[in-house]
Amino acid sequence: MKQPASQVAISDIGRARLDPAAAIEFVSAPGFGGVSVFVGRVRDHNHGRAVTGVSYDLFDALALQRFAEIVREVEAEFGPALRLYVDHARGRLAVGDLAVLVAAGTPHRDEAFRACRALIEAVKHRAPIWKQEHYADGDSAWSEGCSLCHPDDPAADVDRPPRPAHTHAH
Amino acid sequence: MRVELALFGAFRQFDPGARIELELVNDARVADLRLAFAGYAAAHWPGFSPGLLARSAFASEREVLRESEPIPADRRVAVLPPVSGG
Repeated sequence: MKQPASQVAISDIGRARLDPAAAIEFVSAPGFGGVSVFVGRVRDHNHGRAVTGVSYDLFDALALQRFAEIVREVEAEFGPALRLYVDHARGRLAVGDLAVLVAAGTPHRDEAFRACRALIEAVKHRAPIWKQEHYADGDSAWSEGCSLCHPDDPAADVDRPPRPAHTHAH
Repeated sequence: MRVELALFGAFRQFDPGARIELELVNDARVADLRLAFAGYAAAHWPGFSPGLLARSAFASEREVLRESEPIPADRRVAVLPPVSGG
């Protein structure tokens, strides 16, 4: 039976860690000479504040739907010779922990780099995932992010930049 | 009809259960839910910022909903503040 060409997942940090070796293995194939992997880790500072950890909240059902949509879009752009992997952590992570892991395997490096970049950008901007930073002074704050409102929807009376432009830092 | 609204991200801080119920007219649309939620939040949550809701979307488990769409048949909706994954 033919193996699926993509895998998407959410990993509860209390039960499982993100595994780059598993991602590389999944996107590898005998005809693929290029594998690109992006690993997002929790850093120890943001906007000049010392960060001790990050909590990730996800709307699981919709996040998995969005991951699958994103994978289909990347496959349409870079496939069919392509294997993709997406995994995002949920729960409280410490500095240095892996928060997100995406990988792309292709015959050559150029498509691998570009597919991997397309995957991570779409996951960051379009998946229902929220990050709460915990600071050394005991304070916590939810990060600014990208609105998921339909860009042509009139309801949210907010001065929202058109996609894909956005002004916040990542 | 009663609609169950799940809260995520920054909205979680306002309700320990991260879930509220709102009463809407039977043919309500997402825009009606937004209005009802804004009223509920203003009445129950000191410190609530209307700006957060203005940048938030509503969604079922399968898709982000447009304002003109009817409430899903299962009457379960989530409110999604701006996202910040990765």
